[in-house]
Amino acid sequence: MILVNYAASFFLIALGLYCMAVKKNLIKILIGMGLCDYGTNLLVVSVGFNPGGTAPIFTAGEIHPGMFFVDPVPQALTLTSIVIGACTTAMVLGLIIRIKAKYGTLDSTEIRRLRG
Amino acid sequence: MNMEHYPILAIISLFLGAFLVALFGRLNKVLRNLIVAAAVTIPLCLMIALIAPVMIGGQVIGYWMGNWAPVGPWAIGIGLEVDALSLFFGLVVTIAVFVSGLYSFTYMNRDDSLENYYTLFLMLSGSLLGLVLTGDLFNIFVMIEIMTMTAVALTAFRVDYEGALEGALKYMVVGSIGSTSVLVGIAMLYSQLHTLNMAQIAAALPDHQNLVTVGAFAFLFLGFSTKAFLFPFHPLAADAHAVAPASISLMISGVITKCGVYGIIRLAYILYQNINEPAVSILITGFGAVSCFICVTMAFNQHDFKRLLAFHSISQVGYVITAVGLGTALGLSAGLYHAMNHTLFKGLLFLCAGAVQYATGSLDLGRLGGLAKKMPKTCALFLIGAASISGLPPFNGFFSKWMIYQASFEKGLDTGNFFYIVVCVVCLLSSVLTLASFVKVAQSVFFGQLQPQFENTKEVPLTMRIPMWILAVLCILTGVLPWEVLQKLVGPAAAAALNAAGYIQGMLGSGAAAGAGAQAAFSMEIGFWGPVSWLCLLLIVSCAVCLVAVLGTAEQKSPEERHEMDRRAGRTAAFTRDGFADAGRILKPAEKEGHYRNPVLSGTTLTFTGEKDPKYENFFSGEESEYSQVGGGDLFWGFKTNWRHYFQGMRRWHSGVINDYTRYGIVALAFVLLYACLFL
Amino acid sequence: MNDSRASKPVLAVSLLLILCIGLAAAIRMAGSAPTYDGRSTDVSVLQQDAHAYDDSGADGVAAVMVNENNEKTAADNVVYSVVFNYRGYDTLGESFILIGAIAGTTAILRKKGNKASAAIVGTRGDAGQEPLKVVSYRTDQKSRTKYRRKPVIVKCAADFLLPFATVYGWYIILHGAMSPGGGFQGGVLAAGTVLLVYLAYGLTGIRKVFHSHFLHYSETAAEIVYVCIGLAGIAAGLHFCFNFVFPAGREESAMLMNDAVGYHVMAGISCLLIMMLEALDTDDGSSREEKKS
Repeated sequence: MILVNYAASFFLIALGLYCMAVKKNLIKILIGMGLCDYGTNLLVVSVGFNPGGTAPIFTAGEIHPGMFFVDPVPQALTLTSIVIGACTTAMVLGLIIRIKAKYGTLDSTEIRRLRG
Repeated sequence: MNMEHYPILAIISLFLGAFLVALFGRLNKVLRNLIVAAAVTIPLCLMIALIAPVMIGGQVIGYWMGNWAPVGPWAIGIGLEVDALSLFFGLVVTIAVFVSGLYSFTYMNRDDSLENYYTLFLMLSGSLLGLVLTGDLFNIFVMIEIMTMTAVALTAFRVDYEGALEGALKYMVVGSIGSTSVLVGIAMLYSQLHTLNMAQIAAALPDHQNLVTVGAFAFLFLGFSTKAFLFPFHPLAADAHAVAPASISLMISGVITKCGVYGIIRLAYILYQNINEPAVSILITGFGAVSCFICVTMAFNQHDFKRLLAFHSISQVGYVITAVGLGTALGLSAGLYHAMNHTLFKGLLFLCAGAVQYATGSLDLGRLGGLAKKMPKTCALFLIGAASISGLPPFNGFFSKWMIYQASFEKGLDTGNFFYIVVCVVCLLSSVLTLASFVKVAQSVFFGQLQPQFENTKEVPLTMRIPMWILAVLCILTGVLPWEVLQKLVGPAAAAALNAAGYIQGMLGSGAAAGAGAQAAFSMEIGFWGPVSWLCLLLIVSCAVCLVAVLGTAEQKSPEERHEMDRRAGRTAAFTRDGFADAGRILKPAEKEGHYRNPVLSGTTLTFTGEKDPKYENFFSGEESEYSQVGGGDLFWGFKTNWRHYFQGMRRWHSGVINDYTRYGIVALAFVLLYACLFL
Repeated sequence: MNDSRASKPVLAVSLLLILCIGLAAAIRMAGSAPTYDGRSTDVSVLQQDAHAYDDSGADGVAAVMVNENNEKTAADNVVYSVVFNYRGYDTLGESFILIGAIAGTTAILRKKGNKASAAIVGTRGDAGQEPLKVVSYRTDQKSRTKYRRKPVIVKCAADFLLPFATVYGWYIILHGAMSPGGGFQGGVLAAGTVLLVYLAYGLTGIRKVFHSHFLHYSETAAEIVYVCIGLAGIAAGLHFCFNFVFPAGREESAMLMNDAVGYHVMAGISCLLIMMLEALDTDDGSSREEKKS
């Protein structure tokens, strides 16, 4: 069933790209970036999945013979990636706040003083 | 201290400097500057200390974080791996950081919130150094993210500067496509190989070629080319460069693009080792050649000094990528040499632009002019940079460009593929256009008529000129001593890039590299010319050029005379810079924007047909209403008129809307994915 | 705006291509036998006697990490070990990003602006251009009076929940080595208290309770502590980020890194939130209510 995760992650990435390419509102573009991030995170964390594996923690009394772990590395990578995504979002929000104050609009088609 | 600690100490000294500045920077200005100076000097010294063992001795430094040495074949920790290629880019980074840091002390002294500036600047530097020295794929992603984040913040640092926020937002949003691509590529590789260490991936990949790894190649390639601002992403670079402080423009153009180049080299030469497949070579070379040509033509339309330089910057990176994509030893050496030269001369040009901005407060090519009298030293530095970028002999651009032409032509002859010959011609053509474009810049900034508002312009202080002189001297040195540079720096780096087995062994010990391709023989058969005689000949030619230029400026006429000349020549007065100023006397002030309409000269009066002529639209970018000088600043009016359909198309294409740029990125991603699936 | 007619179909085709190739890769990824499936690592045997366990037949990085975890680290949570121990350098970079985001957001949102320098530096093309329309961050007076918070329930709930939220956040930080959690997760939870205070007391409450400069400085100090723990490895003649397991066997230097990161994330996210809220400056009603009472 891990195929569903993979497919969903690529679908989320495509959806995020669609949002970024088509939506004119800067906040919606930011949401598109977020969707791309979530899709990527889902992909990374799914890569480490083993059917039948348990959480990679040596909890006393919880480990029974024959148990095995899922891959812990992608989980750590996802953690990193989530923090990065959150920081990116904060930064873009800061930019948008200032742009709204300066240009008086959130419409991306009007924010084009640099062109040509 | 042991030499193997040098790379990590270099990275950490930059980051630690950033935190110390954040902590104490607000208290004392002198303390802050001391911390910054120490933080940018230490890595440079450490990198220079590594030249002897790594470049000349051929040693590969493998350094496992936390002593987590590999268990069996599996690399469990993060490793720093410094081979000659990494060190080459490390040197480029540290030199640029050092110069930019020194320049900032004076250049930024009129801004506030400087502790944030230096924190971000040092973090940007640290991430760039960390990126080129690391041996771990996920660590590259982390460093790319720090780099993007801090570069965006620095682009927007002068928040009140026109367009700063907008340029930063575009950089962030469209750049996030690249970051996502890199992470998706890493995840796909991990799903197949279950490791993140680059040496181990390189050892395992040749046995695991399937759809997933090919897709990962496409994603990683697109991610790195986003960071190098290659063809569909070049508008971002133009926007970001134009609005960032000049010291940051140096970093973006000189180093951030180089990190993208470094990523592409690592990807194609070490990780996949597939650069010799014609499909990969054509893909990379094609992207390079297209960026090279489109950006150099885009530069013709610019009237902002730094924006023009930004387009040239991407054009030069296009050269580098073209050469890197050839896959031959000569091509790779040419690419690396040109990458280094580009950092030096483009850094110098950006710093000159910053000096002009510092002294006059303007970067508008239409308004500036005649600054050679007021700022002779900056002018001299600018001419050195312009000669280097245009590939004039004794300067460094000449040799690397020559090598690129030769490499692409040889590759075309060897493979019998007509594509490489076309690439060679495109490179030559772009070089001619670069020269033409810089003649225009020199003419409209430093020569020509001095505008009255800039009468009181003063030369910039010595503290700003010293960093510029460092770069200028390096430009001349690398141009005059090409063989030393080739043997000591570029040659070992190219050899290291072609030696994937050596890279794997350096990290995982011998035996791990059994699966990798045999070491490619590296030869130094570069050029058929006797360098000394060529140098003499070209010196004579350049002297002649200088003579003509000097004579040309000596013949300058006063505005009245020139207007009279124009009139006699039947030219319309509105088309020349000074003539336009005269026209202002004839015209009513309300009609000052006469260039929108169709001026017709009859007798001594100008009349306008009142119709907007599309012929002149080429000359304006940015705001339509913006005042722009068509005449004196535009030497190549005829060329642009003949090509106006192309330029109009380009203008429509660089619309400035985030959605459009994102769309180009998506189309490029789809194209690269499809190409990779079909041909790899 | 690029209005060419072809742009929409081209975009649609590109997105479909990305999706299709992604799906094909997904099927391939799901179908291929994974290099590491962990089945060969019986963790119960490993837990009983880590030193005796033979890891020569390991089938992936993860297997080695799991095997090494019980032997050479003091932590039970393997994800925690990966984050702070095996890949501690990545985590360092990750916390750098947070500092970068804070410094960047501070620079972008700084109120004083750059008016003086902008005048000297000059702006592009000041001739014949309309002045920029400047719109205030503040919501207009009308909507302000219309919307009034009913803070009693929220205040009571916040007063009740604040200590729990803080303690819970720090519990997650400090027990990261033993149970799911760690510096990042706990730090974000603890930083949530800023939002609780904001919901109950508005911006005035935040200004009264939190000292954002202090948060910023102490967060940087926490980061320096992290780097110094890493440098201790070099000072001891070992490599950067070396993990010292203390003699008792249940403590290690990675735990100190975890605590530093926990504080760093808590202070950093709080700082970011406060900066955003200050920039938006939508202090509505609550301060006025306080003045009345």
